[in-house]
Amino acid sequence: MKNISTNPRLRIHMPFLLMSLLVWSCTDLEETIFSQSEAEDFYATEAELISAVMPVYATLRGYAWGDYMFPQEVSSDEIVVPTRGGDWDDGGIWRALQEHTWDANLGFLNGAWSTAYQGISRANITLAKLEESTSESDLIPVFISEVRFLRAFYYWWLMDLFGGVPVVTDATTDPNNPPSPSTRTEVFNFILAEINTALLGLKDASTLGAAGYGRVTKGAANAMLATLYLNAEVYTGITMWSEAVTASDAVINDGSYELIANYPDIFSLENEGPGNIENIFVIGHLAQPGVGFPRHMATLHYNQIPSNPWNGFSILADFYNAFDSDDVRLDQLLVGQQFVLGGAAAGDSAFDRSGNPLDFQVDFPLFGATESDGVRILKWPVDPNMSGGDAGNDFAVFRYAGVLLTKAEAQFMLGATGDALALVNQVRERAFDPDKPLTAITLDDILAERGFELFWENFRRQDQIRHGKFLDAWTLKITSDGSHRLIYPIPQSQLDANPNLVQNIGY
Amino acid sequence: MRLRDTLTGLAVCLLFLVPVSGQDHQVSGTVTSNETRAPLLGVNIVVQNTSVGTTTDQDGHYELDAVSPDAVLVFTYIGFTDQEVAVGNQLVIDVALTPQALPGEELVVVGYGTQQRRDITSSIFSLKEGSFTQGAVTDVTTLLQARVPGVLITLSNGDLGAEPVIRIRGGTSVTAGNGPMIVIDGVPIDNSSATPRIDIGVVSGTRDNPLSMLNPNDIASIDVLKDAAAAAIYGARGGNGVILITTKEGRTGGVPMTYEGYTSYSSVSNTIDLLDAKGYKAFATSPKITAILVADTLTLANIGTDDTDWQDAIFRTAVSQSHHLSFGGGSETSRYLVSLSYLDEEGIILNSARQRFSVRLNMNNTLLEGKLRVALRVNPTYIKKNNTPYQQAGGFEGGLFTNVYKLNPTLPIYLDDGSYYEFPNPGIRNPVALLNEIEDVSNTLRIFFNGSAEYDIIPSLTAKVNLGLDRTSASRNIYQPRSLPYADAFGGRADASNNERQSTLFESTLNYRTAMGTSKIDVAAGYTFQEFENNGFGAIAQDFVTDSWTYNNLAGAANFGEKPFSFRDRNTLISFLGRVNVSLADKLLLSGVVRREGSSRFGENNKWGLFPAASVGYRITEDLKVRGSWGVAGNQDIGNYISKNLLGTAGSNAVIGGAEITGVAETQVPNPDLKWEETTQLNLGLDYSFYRDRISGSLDVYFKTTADLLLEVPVPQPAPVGTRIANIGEVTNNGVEFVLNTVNVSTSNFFWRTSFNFARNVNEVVSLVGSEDSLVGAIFTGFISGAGQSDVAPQIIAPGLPLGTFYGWKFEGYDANGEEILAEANGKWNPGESYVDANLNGKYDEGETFTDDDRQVLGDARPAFTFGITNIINYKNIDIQFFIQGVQGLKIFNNTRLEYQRPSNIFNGINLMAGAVDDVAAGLDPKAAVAYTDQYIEDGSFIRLQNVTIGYTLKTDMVRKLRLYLSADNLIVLTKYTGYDPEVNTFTGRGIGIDYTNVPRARTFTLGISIGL
Repeated sequence: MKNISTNPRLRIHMPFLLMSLLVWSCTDLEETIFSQSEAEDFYATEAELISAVMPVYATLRGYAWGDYMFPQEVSSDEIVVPTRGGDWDDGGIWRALQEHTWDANLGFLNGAWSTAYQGISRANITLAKLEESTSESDLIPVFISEVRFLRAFYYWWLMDLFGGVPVVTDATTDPNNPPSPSTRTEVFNFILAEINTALLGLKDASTLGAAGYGRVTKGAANAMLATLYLNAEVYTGITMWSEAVTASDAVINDGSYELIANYPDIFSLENEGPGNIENIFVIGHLAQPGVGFPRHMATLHYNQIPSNPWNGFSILADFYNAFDSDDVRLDQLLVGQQFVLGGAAAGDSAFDRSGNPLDFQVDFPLFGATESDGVRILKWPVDPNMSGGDAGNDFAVFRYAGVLLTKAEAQFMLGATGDALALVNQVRERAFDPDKPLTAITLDDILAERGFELFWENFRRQDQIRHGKFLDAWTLKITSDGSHRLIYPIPQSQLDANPNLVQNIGY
Repeated sequence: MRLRDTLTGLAVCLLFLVPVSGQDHQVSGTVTSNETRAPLLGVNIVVQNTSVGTTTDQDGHYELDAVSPDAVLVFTYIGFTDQEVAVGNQLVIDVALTPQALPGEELVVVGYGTQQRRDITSSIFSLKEGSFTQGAVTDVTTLLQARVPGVLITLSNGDLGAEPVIRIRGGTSVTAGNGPMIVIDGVPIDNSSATPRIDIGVVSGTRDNPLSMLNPNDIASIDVLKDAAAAAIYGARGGNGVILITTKEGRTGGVPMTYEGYTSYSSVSNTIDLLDAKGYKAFATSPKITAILVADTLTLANIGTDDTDWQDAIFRTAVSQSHHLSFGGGSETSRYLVSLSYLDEEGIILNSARQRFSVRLNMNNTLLEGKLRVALRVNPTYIKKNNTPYQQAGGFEGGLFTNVYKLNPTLPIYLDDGSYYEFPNPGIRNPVALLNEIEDVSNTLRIFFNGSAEYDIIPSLTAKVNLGLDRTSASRNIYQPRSLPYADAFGGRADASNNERQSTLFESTLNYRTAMGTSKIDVAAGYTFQEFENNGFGAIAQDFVTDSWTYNNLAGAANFGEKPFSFRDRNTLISFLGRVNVSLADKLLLSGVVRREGSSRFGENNKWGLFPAASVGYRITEDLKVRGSWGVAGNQDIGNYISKNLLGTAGSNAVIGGAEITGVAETQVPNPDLKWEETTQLNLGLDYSFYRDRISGSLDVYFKTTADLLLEVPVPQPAPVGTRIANIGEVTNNGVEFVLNTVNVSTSNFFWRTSFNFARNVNEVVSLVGSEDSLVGAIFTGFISGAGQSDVAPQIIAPGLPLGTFYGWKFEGYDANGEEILAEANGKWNPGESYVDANLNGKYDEGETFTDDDRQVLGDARPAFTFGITNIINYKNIDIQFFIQGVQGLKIFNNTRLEYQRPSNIFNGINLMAGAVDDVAAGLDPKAAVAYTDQYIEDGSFIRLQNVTIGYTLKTDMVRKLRLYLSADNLIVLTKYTGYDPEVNTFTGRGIGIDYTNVPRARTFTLGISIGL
């Protein structure tokens, strides 16, 4: 028998046969993942579980800016985005909001829907993982309560904008078996029940301390309840004024919260942290990409800060004119000759793009405005560390002043006008030096006071709807074409994706 | 009985393969061109299956000693068809070779093998070296442009090495890639640019052509597989067609050395009609503008006293040179080809430049009496590029060209002290300063490594193993210095990043060939495994105390707000393939292909796909062959891991307690059913060749349906993200292709031939998510760049319309207020109400606005037909070639004009296109907003005289060959398009045919020489 190694033919044949045949058996197509994780390999350690809670918070930034803020503010009599020459025309999307001519294809609406449901999806997944965790950590039950609150918050966001939406608490949604919508009342009741459950496990702000600033507290849950009850009639047709008073009182009597003496201090960068006892529920931001606060970019003129802002969002003339000229809150509105607000040239006179002094005008058209038209808002001071469009200003969802005004309105509706007057004057006291208290109060006064105090804090559309003013004509808008405008249409691409959804009446 | 006959036949065939010995003798002869009758110099003559050979001398004469009467001589010459002659008893063998562009017996690369052109039954186009485009060709893609009917190559813009858009028989996919598969010497490559793309304001995310890494001088042939029967052998990747590139190999007794070199001069071929200083001032002081300035109590502050042509300021005459040296040759058992190449290219924009060094070593060794053949190919290529800071698309800041258009001509480039003039608004930047001050350099090294061994187990059965490695390391470093006012605001910024892409291939194939009389059978089977890996790293630093460190000392910065990043991903393809080619009586040709391929990208329920194909051809006469084919091929060109449920950190960090806390969330909606897009294609064709090949060509008709589109579709909420990729929808491409080659004149010293190709493709989206006849499920895509254009999508993808359909408003005129009147839509694509009838009076009034529902179809960006014409003329020593490309019946959205012809720009002190003056004269209110209308949808048809080359071949005894030539590229363009060039594509989502602030094309004159020693 011939030795294989000396047989030249076999010497050549063997490697070929081996390579040709052996390797044919390799049919492994498993994907190797390097930069991300798969769900089954995650959620084991406490650190991983906490990292699963953070995304539920992260989605809140969509409340402070963007697709929640636009439909809540730009559709109201407070904020407008005029078309300036060619700038801000954007296919008429801003005019559609201001003039109440939107339809189901308006991109913001899909954004608002998707962002809220992203928060809900994240909450559902995280809750499932937290609940099935065997971790002994004390943090787990607290985080469960916080995530339940946040999920309810996102449902409030949806229910407020769109009415009846699907309520889903499962971690996954089968694309082939999509959920059906609940009625607005059912969603409202779900939110109430969830927040009341969450309240049992939530901590006080003082317990969470500085490291927990930005997390959900008992105070946040009570402020949220107060807001829900205040709007209960809009949401369900049934008033809940006394519940609104009770929930407001829970915040007022909590002992953690007070009005800060100076109005600008509420928003100052130096005051960010647990020392800011006016803020009840805060969305944290940092001057870093991905976690920044972009509202300065939206409203300031191109040349006012080095980040080259977009010169868009302005205050409507009538809203501005309604202010008392002695109101310190007027200082947060920029009008007339302007100055550079940041960078090396801060304090210098600002110029428009033609080289003329920048002079913000109160009156302007919706279409064909100039670059210097419109009163601007500087509620949150310019962050000197701003990086690109990202500023580090925190955004308070609920403030103590807002809770006082909520209680005032509920008391007024319950007939306790004296209490209402006192509460409104408590808020006004800070805004006037010398004090300029109201001597009598009407419902319109309360709406107006909410505007002066809470402008650009995402309440104006809600307030106008509750007060029956949202469909009215105002400076740049004629009377809306129907009461269907009180809720937004279900976005078209959501209808495409989920055949069980039903378009809101009127759209 | 029949089986026994077959076996007997087989045995007889095998017997014939046994060599019969005879008396060796000397053979000599002369080789001429059968067209020009002129003797050919440097023709290779090789005794078949040996390495014995020689070349012809000046007079076309050759001599070979001791040739066996059984031997077959193979005559090969670049640009001519190979010819084989059996020696027998002949002592003198004179041969006349036929130019190769004519259809003949040349081998066509078909994927895992070769086939004779005459036996091909599917739609394959071959391009050989002799038919390549002449002139200053720096990228492989240029060689193919307008040469192959049905292959549309659109150069995105005039940037050096810009990524072209290549479409074979139309586009098939909405969401997945539409580019063809590229195979180099049998190794499928990862055809994505490795250069890190960075989009940071003014600095562009440059898209480099990955095929730039291949030296065009090294290429011997390019074969394009167009129909599914040809492409099915490449399975899940063949759906968009396949381009097979074959590099040159050494030849025994071949050309010892050749040198190809040129110097070229390029300048911008066209400029945009912007107002000059005089025109700008005249417009600024015209009555309509003055009236508005008075009414609004405005003055125009930024009007200077200079007269600057900002386009002129950034363009230059670019001088480039190329040197290519190649050596080849070999002994009986080994052949080699070594090439060294250097390209030093300047761009027509200040400071843009590219240098390429490439080396190739192709070795072939024959062992064991010719039974074992091993080949090795090594090709490292290095490119260094100075990138131009042009941002292709975006808001109103933009890059180089937005500033060129914005800065008004009355402003200077430099101040008196020599420093750059800067506009008061930091959003507008001196473009000359941007070009001189920003450093943006990319370095790319790509190594192709390919080794194969082929062994004849028995004479008719060959086993082959093929190993390939393709690795690219690319880096990109950018520094935006403090010397630029806008960058000084953040203290300068350095970006450093690198990216490594690699693919490894293992293939093993078995091939069985046999012949019985005039019938042949060829069977191939194989296994392939290919893995692609991609990883990268990058870091960003801001706020430097000095500009002197640029990107070389990131730690020297003070601000690291932007996080460093790294990533890595991998995907795998495994397949089993088989093919049978049968030729019966040299008349009926049959072919069947099947590939079973799995991709790691597919969902776990659909990992493996089956891609079959069959084709048949019948040779009616030797001059006329009809053929038909049917096949299925796939497309898997989507990202990795898309079917999976993945957790990541994108957008999921929260700020708690004043610090950023890492969040990990689901980043996509999994789809375990995810699979390939499936393209089924029917192709009917005929190949003809009459009057001794004086007239030849082919005609193809195809019907291509792509189903199970990889489509991004909305998912029901709640979900971690709003969409996922699912297999939904269908697109069809039907078309006709025609090739006509003619030899117009063929005398002893005058030869003229013409190649003409024509293609028409009709694309239609058949179905998507929603139903037809409504906008439900329609995809609004592309985006419009410029101020005030957010949320306006210029294109629609919807059933019944071709991909690339423009969708917007029709302009009707101006109303008394000078605002645009848009047409009220009616018909299929405009179902709802029209303008917003604000006062509800039922008619359009001044100032009322038009809505989305008034939009309508405004044409599409796909050409109705394309053609190419090549003429080659030889007269004595002079050769003339000219090449014309035609692209007809398409629309382009001139986004640049929409943005910079807006008269209201005057109030911002920025420049305008001259058309703005006409628009105002026609009634447009200078303050009015300008909408996206059909006014900016232009006819993008063009006919381009792409190349004219005149060469002169010197007769000298000093060298074997010496040719001098003068060449002009992009000499004349006939078009109505008003932008820089109608061949353009700004990458905007899925939009095509959109032109915004692109780098213009150059017109290039080249002086070149080729020397053969």
